[in-house]
Amino acid sequence: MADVNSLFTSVAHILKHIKEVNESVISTSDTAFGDINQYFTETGTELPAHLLRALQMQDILRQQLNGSTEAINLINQSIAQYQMALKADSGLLEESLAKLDTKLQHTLTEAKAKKEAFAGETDNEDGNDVEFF
Amino acid sequence: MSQPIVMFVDDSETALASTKIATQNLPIDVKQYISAGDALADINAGIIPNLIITDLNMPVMNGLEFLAALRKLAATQKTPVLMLTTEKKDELKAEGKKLGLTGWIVKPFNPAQLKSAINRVLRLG
Repeated sequence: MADVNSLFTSVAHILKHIKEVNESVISTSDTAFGDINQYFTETGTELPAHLLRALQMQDILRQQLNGSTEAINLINQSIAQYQMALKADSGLLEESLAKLDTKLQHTLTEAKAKKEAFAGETDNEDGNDVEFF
Repeated sequence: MSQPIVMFVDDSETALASTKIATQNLPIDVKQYISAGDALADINAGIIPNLIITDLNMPVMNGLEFLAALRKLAATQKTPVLMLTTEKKDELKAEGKKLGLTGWIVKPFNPAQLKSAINRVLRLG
């Protein structure tokens, strides 16, 4: 029992670390974007289309990392709930594991949907057509 | 003559900066909002936009909910609204169309295409 708990604690710590890396990358990327934006705003220089596209990629990257951070938060919440349940009644090991598994699968499904939702169409180098209704 | 007001709504400051850079040479009055609620507050305060360009995935009120709220207001019942988003699902586009959405642009946008869409809607010539 202690081993299972210890294993999940380690997983939670690893995920927390990945979350911190995500946040650090977002922050660094925001700073870089801010500097570039400031230059173009102050100088009034017109930005070539491909550079503007690159700046938008930064935003897509940011959204994707935020999406994975949200998934990590949910996973860590589920693990914490599982550990609390076990602490209250160690006889519930199997039931708690089954519940945890269901929650983790749900989190994975949601995370994949977010990845799709935040992806945009970055493969189209000419830009995406405007669809009028 | 005053310039047409174009409201950009996106919870990402980076995205707002990108649209501002892309439209800086257009004869429009750009107003930027970090949430749909902020934009609605300005509309309720009497700032009536000629065009609204909004993101879809935003916390509290998403782009489609925002669109539904706009259609309930007399001032923006018929205001053209473009969705500028990373989403490309047909069911979301259909939902937008049902609510009276004008058009859909998938990110990353091409600045020339964005400017052309704004020109087309506002007939800037």
